Amino acid sequence: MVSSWCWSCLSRLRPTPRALPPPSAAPRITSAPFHSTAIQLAQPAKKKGPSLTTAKHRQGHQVRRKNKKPVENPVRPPAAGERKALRKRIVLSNPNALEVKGMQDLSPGTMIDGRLRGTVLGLPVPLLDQLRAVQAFKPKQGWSIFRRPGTIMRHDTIEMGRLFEKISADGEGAQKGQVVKKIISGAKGTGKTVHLLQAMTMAFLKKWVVIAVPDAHELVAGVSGYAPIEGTNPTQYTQPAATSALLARTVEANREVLSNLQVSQQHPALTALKPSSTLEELASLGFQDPAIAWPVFQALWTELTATAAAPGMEKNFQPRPPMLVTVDGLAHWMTDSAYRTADFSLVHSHNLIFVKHFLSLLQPGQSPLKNGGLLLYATSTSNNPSVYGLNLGLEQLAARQAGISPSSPEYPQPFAFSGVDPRVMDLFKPAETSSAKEGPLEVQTLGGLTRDETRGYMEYFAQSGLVRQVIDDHWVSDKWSLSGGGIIGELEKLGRRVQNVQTATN
Amino acid sequence: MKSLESFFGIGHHTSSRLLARFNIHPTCRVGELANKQVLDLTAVLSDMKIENELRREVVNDIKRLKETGTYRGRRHALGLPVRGQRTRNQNKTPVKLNRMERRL
Repeated sequence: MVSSWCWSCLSRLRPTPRALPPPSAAPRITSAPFHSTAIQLAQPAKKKGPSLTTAKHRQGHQVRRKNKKPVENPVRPPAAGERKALRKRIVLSNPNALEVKGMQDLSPGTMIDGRLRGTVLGLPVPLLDQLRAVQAFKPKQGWSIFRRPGTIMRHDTIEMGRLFEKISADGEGAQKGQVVKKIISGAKGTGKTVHLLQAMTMAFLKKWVVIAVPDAHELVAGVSGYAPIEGTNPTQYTQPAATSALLARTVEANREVLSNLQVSQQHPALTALKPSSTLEELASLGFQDPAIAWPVFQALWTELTATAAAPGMEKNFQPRPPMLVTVDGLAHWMTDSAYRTADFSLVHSHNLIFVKHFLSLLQPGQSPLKNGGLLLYATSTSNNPSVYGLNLGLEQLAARQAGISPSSPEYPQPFAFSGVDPRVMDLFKPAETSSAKEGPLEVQTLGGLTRDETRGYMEYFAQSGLVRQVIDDHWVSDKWSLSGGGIIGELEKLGRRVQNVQTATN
Repeated sequence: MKSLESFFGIGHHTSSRLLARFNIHPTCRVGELANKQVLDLTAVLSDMKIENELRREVVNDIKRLKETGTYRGRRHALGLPVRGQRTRNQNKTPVKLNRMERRL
């Protein structure tokens, strides 16, 4: 900046004009140099109130603020339960997706056909309501990207179809009326829940009774009512709301079968029950009044597992169909639940009588399903409560399946001081007596699809208009590797992602 | 249950134990309670020292401290922290709360 002093003569170059008052008369406005108001006319600055810095220490003054009116939100807030309904919504059809030509339905004929391995079969449309009722579909599965729901026939599916065929009444084989117990295990996205869905579809096709627990965690998370049962030691608990929901689901899904079966046993606990009523009416007693839901469920269970009528009630007795029992998320039942006892300690899941009932079906020698059937209990190896006893039990099961005897040194044993839960280990004890009617507990591990199955699956994506590449061996092999060896959940993500890339480049 | 914790003198610790004692799950709503559970809860709550009774007790305790001229009493009256906290920087809470006539 040029100084206003002349360095040669030490005099001011431009003396201040006399007309202006001295600068001290009014505060000089520096921030607005082009202000047109004369400085003299400016009003004197108002005296400010006590500022925060000048306030006395510890005087307890408050900064006063004007209460602003809350801004009215023009958007209507979502109604109670609306967002949850949106989150839990299951969309099974997408009209934008192409219809796959020549797609077959899952039927008693196609479910055992080995030639259909690797193709996607549609779920029969009349069964969709029943499948919805047992909550076989989960919100995060990708049903909404296809025209209609369909599932792939993989090796395990066809094996299961054959099992259904053998157990059902139409196949007069040695395995008729047998009970098969399986624990489905596998990593995240390997299709365990969809495997259960396929089982339920097959059971509905075969006119079995399906009893499903779609979310095992819900029963032990402490989100529904519970009540102690008097005179039990250790104290056991009923869950009236959860039981009544189970009954409601079961009736909704199996209405056709249950309405054709009549009560054949004495149920002194249920006074409201008429001797001539159907099983549908019996079950509906339970979900109308949650207080008696558990006795009703027990009565329904004895009816469904009855092989003959009680004396005096033989008139309308019809043989009971086989049953499919599915539980999704078994590992949640192996630890303490979130419920509390009266002295504030946690209730072990096995003390909840609902859970205990379903777990007791796994134990050997109980012969729980007298008319035959299938028990499928799924558990994930990825996103789970870590229960050492369960992991060890599954290892022991796998070892027994591989032919290792429990006395051999290779048989998995618990680590010393591991504190393994004896109740969990009891579930996986080997059967002492083998019976022809009841198979041993097995573990079935679901892995990735084979390359051929992957090809069939990706072709289904292509036919639905999601993938626009030419499906050749190289491309399929690429996707198979990217999906961790054919993990079907990852394949589905890849199928969607390819769609996105396509739309971006086109 | 949040509604138990709305009482002065009942926090998470007490409410969760009360719920466990009467076998009520923590996400239960008041409307879902059985008649007997409501009666049990009311009976227990009526025996507990909560709300105004508890406020009065706390205020009386502080008053006693002031009257006996203890250090804690003086600090309460001066609007200063009572339990040895520093007063150099942050003491908004005692400034706000500790008065001659303490309210709760």
